[in-house]
Amino acid sequence: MTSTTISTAPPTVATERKIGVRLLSLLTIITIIAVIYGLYVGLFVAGRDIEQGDVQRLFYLHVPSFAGAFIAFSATVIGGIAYLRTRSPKWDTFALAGVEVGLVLALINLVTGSVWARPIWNTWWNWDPRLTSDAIMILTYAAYLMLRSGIENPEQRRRFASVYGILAFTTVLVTLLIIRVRPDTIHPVVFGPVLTDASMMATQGDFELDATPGVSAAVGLNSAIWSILVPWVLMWHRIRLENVASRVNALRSRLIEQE
Amino acid sequence: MKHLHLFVPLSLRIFGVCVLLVVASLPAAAQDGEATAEPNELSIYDDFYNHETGWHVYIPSGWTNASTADYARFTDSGRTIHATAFTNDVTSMDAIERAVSSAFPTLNVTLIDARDVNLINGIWTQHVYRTDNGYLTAHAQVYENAVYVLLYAGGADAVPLIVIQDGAGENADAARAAVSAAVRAIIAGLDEPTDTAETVTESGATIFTQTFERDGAIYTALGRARGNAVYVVAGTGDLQALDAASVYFTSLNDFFITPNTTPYLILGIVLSAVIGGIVVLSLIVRRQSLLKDEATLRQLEADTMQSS
Repeated sequence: MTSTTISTAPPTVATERKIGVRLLSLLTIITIIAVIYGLYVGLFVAGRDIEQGDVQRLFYLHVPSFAGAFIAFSATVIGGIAYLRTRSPKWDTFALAGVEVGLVLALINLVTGSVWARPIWNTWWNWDPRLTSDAIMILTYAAYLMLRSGIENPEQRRRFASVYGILAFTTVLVTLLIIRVRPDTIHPVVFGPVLTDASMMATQGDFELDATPGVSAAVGLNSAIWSILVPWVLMWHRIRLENVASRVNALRSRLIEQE
Repeated sequence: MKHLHLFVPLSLRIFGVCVLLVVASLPAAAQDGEATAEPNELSIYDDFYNHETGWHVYIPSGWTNASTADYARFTDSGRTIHATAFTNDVTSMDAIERAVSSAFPTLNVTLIDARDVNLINGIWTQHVYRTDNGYLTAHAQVYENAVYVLLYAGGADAVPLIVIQDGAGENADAARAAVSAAVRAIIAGLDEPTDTAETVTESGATIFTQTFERDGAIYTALGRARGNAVYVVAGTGDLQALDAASVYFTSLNDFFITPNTTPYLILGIVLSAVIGGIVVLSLIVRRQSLLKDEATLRQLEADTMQSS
């Protein structure tokens, strides 16, 4: 008869890190498969829009990528508030990762919107309230990265970035809500309430979710993937990168001190 | 930097939530059940004939739908609306002739009026024919190597036709003159209208009614201006027959073709993939570079320790 000893000691940092790496690898694979599956559903299972043709399928990237950006920028707000409360640098890293990932997803949203606009609005771009607010949002977060890198004092940089990250979120809210309140936007409202009748009259390229088979399911699935898996996996990778950067900086400082 | 590794348990929790949410959302793909059973199924408008190649024509309310997979055909009390399309180097003129002979093979037709009309859904070539028993109106439009033809045959009691008259939408005199000229262009021997009337509909549109006389027969015309286009129905029938014929204009104006926008879809996906790819590549390259730096610095540190 053999006896088994079960260790009750808490896992070490190294063990936790190993578990984290395996988990991240697994989650990355799941995310890649989920994104491909979501695209497959959007491109080959959902129906073709009768009025817009195949370009309407960009909906399955356009809306989900904004949902992902919204989650990532929300993470920046959470990171900023948590940093200001705890002064723990991990929350600053969390907020930074949110901005970088959010910016990428917002860019995908912008690009797909622009390409979609070309055949439907007959232009790549116009200064519609929604498009303008979206551009301001992207520039605001791009400025976050530039301004942040310009502050050398780490404590001052984190404090500034936290406050900036919280305030910058107003541009996300404005972008989200502007099509519901401005009567002069041509950007359609597909989900949620519209607070003015006039905006419905001005919209172009609108479509009903129920008119085409599979649209609701495809956009629901893709939104779930792009707002749950994509931002978190990318942010996790970005945080790991920042961990390595921190280690390198610490080593560099140590070596300079030794010299 | 020990505190940063606290993300591992946090990540564990996030992972659990993510898996749960994605698993929960997967059945959403099956929510539409039958709808998703047929890949790439077109959205269907119940009041439209939807051809598999992507053209759509409005079915007038109350008319009998006698369409096949090849053409649309709606009938009501001897009136017929027929829509079809031809590809492969067919001109609009050939297409109209082919459509007429295939839709009404026993009918002898003589072209009495031909013109182009610019409507909201494109420029249409309009032909009006005299037939054995009345008139036949045809409209054809060329779009991306295909010709789309709509026909209306309703005997002698009502013939729909469209004329373009600058300022007709705002100028009643111009609209009135356009109605009169249109009718007299296809029904030979008509003098000036013997009676004219105007009524304003609930929607605010003005209907111009004109009565003509020839050899003891009474001809009536109803006209309605929309922008520069004046929509006229003329014939020997009563107002009800003219109204019934005017429904053809709805089919013509609501006719649309699903555009080929696939290249834009591909462009959007490629650009998104490029942005995503750059980000992933950037993460990998930056990480590799930092790991190399770390290894070099650790080596340096070890060398320094050894030498001291």
